[in-house]
Amino acid sequence: MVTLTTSDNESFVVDKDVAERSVLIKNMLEDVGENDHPIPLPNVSASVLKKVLEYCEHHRGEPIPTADADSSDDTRKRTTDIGEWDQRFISVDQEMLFEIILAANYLDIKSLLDVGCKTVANMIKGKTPEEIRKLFNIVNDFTPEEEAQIKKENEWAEG
Amino acid sequence: MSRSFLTLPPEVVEQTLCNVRPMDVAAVSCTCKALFKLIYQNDSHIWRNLFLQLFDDPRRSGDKRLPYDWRGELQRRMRARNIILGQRNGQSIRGTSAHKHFSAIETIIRVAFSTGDFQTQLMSRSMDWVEDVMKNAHGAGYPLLSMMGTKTDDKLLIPFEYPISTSPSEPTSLRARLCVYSGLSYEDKEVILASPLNDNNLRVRSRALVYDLDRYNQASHWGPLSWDGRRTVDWQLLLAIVLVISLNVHDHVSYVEPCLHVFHPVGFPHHALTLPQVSRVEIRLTGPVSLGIGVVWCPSATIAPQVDTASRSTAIFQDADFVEGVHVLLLHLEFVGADLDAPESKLFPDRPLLHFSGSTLSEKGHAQGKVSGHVCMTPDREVQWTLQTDADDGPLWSSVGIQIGGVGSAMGVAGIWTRAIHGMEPPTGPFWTWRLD
Repeated sequence: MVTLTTSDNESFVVDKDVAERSVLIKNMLEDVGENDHPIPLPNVSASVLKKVLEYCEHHRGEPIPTADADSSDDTRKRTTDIGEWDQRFISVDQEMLFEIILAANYLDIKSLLDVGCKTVANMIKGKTPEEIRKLFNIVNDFTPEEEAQIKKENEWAEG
Repeated sequence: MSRSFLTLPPEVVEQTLCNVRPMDVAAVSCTCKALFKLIYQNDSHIWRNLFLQLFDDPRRSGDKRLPYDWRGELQRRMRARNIILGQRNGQSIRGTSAHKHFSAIETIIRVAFSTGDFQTQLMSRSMDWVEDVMKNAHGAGYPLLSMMGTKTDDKLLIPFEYPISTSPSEPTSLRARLCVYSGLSYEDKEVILASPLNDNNLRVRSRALVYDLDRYNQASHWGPLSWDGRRTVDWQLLLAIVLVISLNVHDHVSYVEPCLHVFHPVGFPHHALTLPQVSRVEIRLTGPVSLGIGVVWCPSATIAPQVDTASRSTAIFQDADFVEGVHVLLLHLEFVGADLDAPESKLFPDRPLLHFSGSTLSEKGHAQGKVSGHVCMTPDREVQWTLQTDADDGPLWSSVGIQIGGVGSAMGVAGIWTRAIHGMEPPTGPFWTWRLD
């Protein structure tokens, strides 16, 4: 068993194989060797870690994708399809979604980061710039001159 | 601390953007400065990923241009697609500048040819993309006709100028070229056969072009080449040849079925070019043919009556009784050697003129007449085949054709046959040869 301590000082005791779905934790465990010291996770809050551990628990035992899953060999199978369970799991409010993505990035859990990014990608698809601004609360900070430059850069996307 | 899309680390935003379509990335870049910067002032990471989701990896098909311009190339291709599909959304071709439109066609041809070798095209993303664009060009299911715009009666789009000018305009030529690669699909054929035999009928126009015997002279090398003696390809004529022969096969063979998933090594996948299919069936019926290492070509020649071309009238071709004869021949060709000193070899030093020889075969596969010829490059980088068929008492037919696509192309070679001793009377006609597996 491994003890994980969150930024808000809560402790979670989990099976080693569940915790080790995080490459970061796996490496830390290898570095410190076998002992009972809790592992501090100063970048993750309890509410987020709870979600993340739920994900790791569900996917325990599955093979962990290799580091260079980003290589072009992989693009063939890369689609924006997300598994059914993952879809239900990631149906959270936007803030939690981004928290999970950040945690997955920090803890180095490739498959979870992937699910998060694809979910955000699906939210973006087919939207106009104005709709995307609304979706993510983005403020249009372009000057009129910059607007013109942007229009020029994006000419290729017009019919 | 409140989390939002903009507070994500750049690499995570990038990964997200690698999962959307290029058009969505353009939309995201318009939202604010930070995202615009991330997308456009970035290395090629996002662009490469977007590219590889839609297209084959150019590094695998021997494209040595490194570093590859992922962003530029992706944008060129997307722009081409949008221009072509733009016609569908009520935008007339005249609304787009002709130059824009034709550079779009050029891009699509280039994508079709970027897919490299025969094997990989079986699962080529690029070909799927090209096919999708072609088929949706007018929102119709007629790849060839919708590219030509014939369905909309838009004269500007008809790939033939008849009477043909000595130097067809570049746009017309380019469009014809794309249509040659696409070939005649089952859907296209149905539309052509159902339309009245008048001056606008594609078959009438094609025949008028092909049987305009004045075209075949020394300057055009007695083949589908330009009239100015520069030996560049006359794509309009080549398209007319392809159409005349395809439609003839449809006439003579009653069991043509729509083969929507026939794969074309060079033409577009899933487009049924029924000609090779049908003749393959015919040839298989004639018994086993053992041919060693050689290449087998099967020309089907069409013989037309003598046509009065002086009047430049298509009237004769509008007669429903006008028929051509179709002959299917088997050829066995063998490579003889390269001729490094031939003037044609000087054009592209890595592609010298090659000689071949062989014979025509009987139905049982026995050698009959002698065949000899050569393959060389044209100045516009196409592959020209010249072939002479001999009878017992000397040369009989001379055939000059252009290879449609690269080496191993299932589309083969289309061209014109004439008497080997030029200056004599017709007949003359189109031929189409292709390799049998």
